[in-house]
Amino acid sequence: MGEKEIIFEKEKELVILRLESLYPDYCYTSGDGSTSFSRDEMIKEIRQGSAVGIEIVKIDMDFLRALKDGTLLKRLNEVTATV
Amino acid sequence: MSRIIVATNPSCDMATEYLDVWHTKAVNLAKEQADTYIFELNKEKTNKQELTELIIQKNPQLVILNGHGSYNSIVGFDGSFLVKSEENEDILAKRIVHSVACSAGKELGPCCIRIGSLAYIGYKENFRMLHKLNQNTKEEKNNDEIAELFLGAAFEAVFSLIKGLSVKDAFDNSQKMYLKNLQYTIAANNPFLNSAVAPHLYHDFIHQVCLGDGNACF
Repeated sequence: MGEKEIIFEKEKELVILRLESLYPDYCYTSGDGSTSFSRDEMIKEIRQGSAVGIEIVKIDMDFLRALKDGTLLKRLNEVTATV
Repeated sequence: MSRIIVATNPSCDMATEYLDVWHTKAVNLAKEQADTYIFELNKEKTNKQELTELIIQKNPQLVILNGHGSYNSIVGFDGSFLVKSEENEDILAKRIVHSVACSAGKELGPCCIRIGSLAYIGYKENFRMLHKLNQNTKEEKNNDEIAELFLGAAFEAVFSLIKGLSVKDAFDNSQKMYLKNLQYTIAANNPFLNSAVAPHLYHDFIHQVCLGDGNACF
């Protein structure tokens, strides 16, 4: 397994852990718009490495990176400053 | 000159039924405006032929395209395309376009601007939305406060356009609402909002695009 694959496997684990902390039947998410997924179905998609699962991991990691590198905080401060 | 809107509203599955709820708010807002007329294509009528004929007949300044999308198209009730780049995007020339649909802001949006659309507001990747389970009626969907975080921000752009604000101001208002909703979800003492809603809101926020003339007004 290459470095990228190892990193992606760790990202998958992280996102699954975050999802597992949620209420199991609280919500669905629209994937391509025509299909909905429960929390457990999202976790299943991630474990299977489906296109939807990969997208869920990417969305969560993009958000966490934006939090970590300050990008999101900077944008949030912009709107606070204008209110 | 009268202000004329043409809008598509396929309402054919759970996601587009949620769009239908917010589309209704846009319709009601349009009806409150002076000398403003909105012509809708609902359900089965959301198809390429009906859209083309309505646009030619009514010559709208604003076209609202709600539905499913891909990088190069927006589709109607039966899944066939309403507008597709390199096919029939010319029906959107000289008009402002607002679209709550996945991905079409990546290729179809720029294509519209190249052939003379005044402006295009939409999404360059999948439009993500979380909502509560088993919200089957229109009223239940209207009261879904999770979906509201996504759709309120998305539709703020079209509400602003209908009120007569410029394209740039409409886009800015929508982006500000995304940020306010992100502030709320990140700061909330609720892991569902922190861990599930916020990332998807952030995804929609960064992939919303505003193309063309920001000074254009409906």
